[in-house]
Amino acid sequence: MDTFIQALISGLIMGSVYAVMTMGLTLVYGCLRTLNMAQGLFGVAGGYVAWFIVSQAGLPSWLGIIGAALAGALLGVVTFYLAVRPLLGRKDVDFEMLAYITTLVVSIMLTSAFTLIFGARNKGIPPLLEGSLKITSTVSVTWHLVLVAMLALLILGALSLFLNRARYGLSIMAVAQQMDAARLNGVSVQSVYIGVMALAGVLGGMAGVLLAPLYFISPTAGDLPLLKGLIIAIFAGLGSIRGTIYAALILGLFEALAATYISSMWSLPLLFVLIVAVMLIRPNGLFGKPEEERL
Amino acid sequence: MTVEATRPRRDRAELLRLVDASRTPGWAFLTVLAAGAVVPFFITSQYLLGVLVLSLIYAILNLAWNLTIGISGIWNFGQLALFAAGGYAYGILSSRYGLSPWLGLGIGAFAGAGFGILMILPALRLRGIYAALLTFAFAEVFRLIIINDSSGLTGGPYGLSSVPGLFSNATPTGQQRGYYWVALAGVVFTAWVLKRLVDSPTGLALQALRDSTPYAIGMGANRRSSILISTAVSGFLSGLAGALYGGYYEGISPVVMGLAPLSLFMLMIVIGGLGRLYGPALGTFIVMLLSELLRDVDQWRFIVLGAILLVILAFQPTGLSGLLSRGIAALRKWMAEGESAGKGEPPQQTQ
Repeated sequence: MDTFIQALISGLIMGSVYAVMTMGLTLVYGCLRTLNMAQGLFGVAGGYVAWFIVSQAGLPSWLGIIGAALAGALLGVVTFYLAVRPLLGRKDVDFEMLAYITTLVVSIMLTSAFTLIFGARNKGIPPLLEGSLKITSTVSVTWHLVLVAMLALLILGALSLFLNRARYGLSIMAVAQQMDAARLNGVSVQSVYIGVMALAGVLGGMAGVLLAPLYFISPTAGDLPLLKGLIIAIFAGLGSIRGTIYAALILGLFEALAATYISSMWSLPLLFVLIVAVMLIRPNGLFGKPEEERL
Repeated sequence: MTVEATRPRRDRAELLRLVDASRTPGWAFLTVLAAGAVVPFFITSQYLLGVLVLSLIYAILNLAWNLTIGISGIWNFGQLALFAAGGYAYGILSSRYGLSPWLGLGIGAFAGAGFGILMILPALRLRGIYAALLTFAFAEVFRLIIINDSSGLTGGPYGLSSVPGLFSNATPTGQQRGYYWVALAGVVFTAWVLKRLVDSPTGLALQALRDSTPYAIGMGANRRSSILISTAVSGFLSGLAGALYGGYYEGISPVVMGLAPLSLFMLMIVIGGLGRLYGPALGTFIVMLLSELLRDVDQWRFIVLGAILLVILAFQPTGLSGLLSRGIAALRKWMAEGESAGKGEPPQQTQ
């Protein structure tokens, strides 16, 4: 029973971090119809910036989180101009496929750049808080993980407020739902594109800071989170915000339970089988709607 | 119409016919093939010959991958799993079960086709981007299973080593030349298969499905069987390339898969020309050449190649081979225009 509760708690916490990470993919796909393969690298950039600020410069860790968010936003905008902007509005190309390829290329360029700057060695950053919270005599959670869960919930809550209340957030939603109608109502689609890439960068960078103390930071550290993010995104149905949160929590729980009761080696292959089963029944994911192609 | 006006037009037609004759694939193809076949006699550097062998093997893989991703429009990003499946089938059968390496090449190819069908079956119902994610995830899971394999069958993260090669009795130079010719034959075989497939009714159906799925289905194209055939052929050729790779390096390991190799092959295909029949082979050789030039600054390699790809895509989405054929078309148009305007005096008459 205790191991079950332990798995449940860590599964929910990891699931909430995955939700933050995948939300960037979902928002960008919703607005831009671009599957951003550089999302994992936003997290890596966030991790490196936090490492530099916290471990090298010795500044407080909240500065690290802000720095990571800014670095992610910058990379998001750079990725937009390098990979997506040249392809927008062109009649002679398959936009979705080429954007997938160009963002993949940008991600591999960033990986090389990080290797040049920081070297291939793993960098670790200390947990944001020391010690652990004892729930029962045998079940305990480190304070860092508690903080991670709180921050993830805070980020998701702020995001939801932003998307549903703020003027800019509403225009993002409008572009995602009906681009032509949004444009007719005076939304500047181009600035929404830039804003949503920056927002994806912020989310990726913050997820990177939250995950960095649990794993290590290396130039390729974004690959596995990206794979999980992609699995969550298809599972949820691309572009579905509510679906992303559910799918992220399901994946986190599934992973934790599979690691506890079967073996961590088999959790990803089993997850793949689960996804295939879901896709066979619902080809557009759990919450996705069949959509016409756009752009 | 004066007599003077009609005569240059006939000359023009002859000139165009001459250009067309020089572009017929038969002669040009045989010349390139003959030149390619004698190359090993002029190259003394083992290293350079090795790079050429690797380029040829990669050219097979890229031509095969382009069949699904470029020509058929199937969003297949799991091709490296099929390449590795060929290599592992070859390695396991020839090192553990003592199978003849030549038979291993064939079995590797069939392993690639089998895994290709396995990979694409769940993706058959899915729209573009979902198929991309599912195939990509398939390849990643395939890679992670091999890395975590502790049963000893695949050698886990270190892979298989001391796999018997194809020419174990030959001298080192003889071996290199042997692999070169086998790989060259593989490229020719691949190009032949692809040309036959693309010109066949199935190939036409595949291209129609890529360009407009509802229209193609309306005209009677069978989407499922076309996709299965395309993936199986592509997997067969990739498995062959993988088995050749395993034989040439006398081993195979999971490092042939993953994001970095995927991006490298992607770069080769897109720089050469995504969706153009022979473009990926051109791209393979150009990228391999650039990679060798950038060998001393390895981390800059992907940055430079990526920048080249982004620039090419921004100006010419069909890559270098598209640029090449556009240039030839412009040249032909220019000549035809010159002739029809009556300005094109053939140079041999001005003595």
